[in-house]
Amino acid sequence: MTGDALAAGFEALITGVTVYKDRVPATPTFPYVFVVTNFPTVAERSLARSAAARKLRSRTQVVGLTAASVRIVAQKLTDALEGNRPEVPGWVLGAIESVGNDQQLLPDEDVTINGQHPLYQPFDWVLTGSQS
Amino acid sequence: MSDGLAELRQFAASIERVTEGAYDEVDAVIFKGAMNMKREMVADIKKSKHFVGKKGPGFESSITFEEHNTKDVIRRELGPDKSRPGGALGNIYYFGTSRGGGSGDIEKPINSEAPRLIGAIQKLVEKWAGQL
Repeated sequence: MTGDALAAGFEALITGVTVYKDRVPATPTFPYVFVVTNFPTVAERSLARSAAARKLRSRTQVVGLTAASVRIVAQKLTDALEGNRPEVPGWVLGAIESVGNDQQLLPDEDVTINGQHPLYQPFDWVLTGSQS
Repeated sequence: MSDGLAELRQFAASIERVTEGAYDEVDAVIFKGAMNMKREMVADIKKSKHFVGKKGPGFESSITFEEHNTKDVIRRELGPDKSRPGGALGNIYYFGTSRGGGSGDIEKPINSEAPRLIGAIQKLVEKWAGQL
């Protein structure tokens, strides 16, 4: 029933793609999803000021060597997360929703792999729930 | 005995008087809100070890806002201007790269400002109601 269990439950939904958590290794396998999930913060309080709802935020970077591979992995990621509810003991959870961030699919010019820059696009997600 | 027409005319005149200045009054509130958010974004960047300009104005000086008002909508667009020095770092500061990052919180300024902005609009509405 901890915030860490909630974050782990969220991240466990991302399957079928290479996932790196917390840090990307020096020589990653492309394409991949890099995920960082926050500790859930209070989103709503009761009149007595106790936490009525908490919001978990997560950012995923979808990275590939071509724009097409980024889009294909982004689709898999979206299928895995959007509208889904992780089952985490101690939590009553809503559905995961993507949050628009208006970020484009861009080359990462600080990284070069075989003479080319990998492409990436960030996706932000929120999950609201309360502790049961 | 009054047929109510005089009162109705007076009420219509009051509404006209209130609505005449309403656009400018709301615009002033939105302008102030945008200015406060800009100041907070700049202050946040100045706390960053890596993104603040070391030898002169850097990324923090690229934060601007533009007016996008129409007849029916009052709107400001706020954020890094890519044509200004350091402006291209905006997506890295707020959204990271293929290897993570994205330490800037783009929602913090609006979350700080929203209660003040809503309060200011509520005061305006109360003032208009008192003028009718």
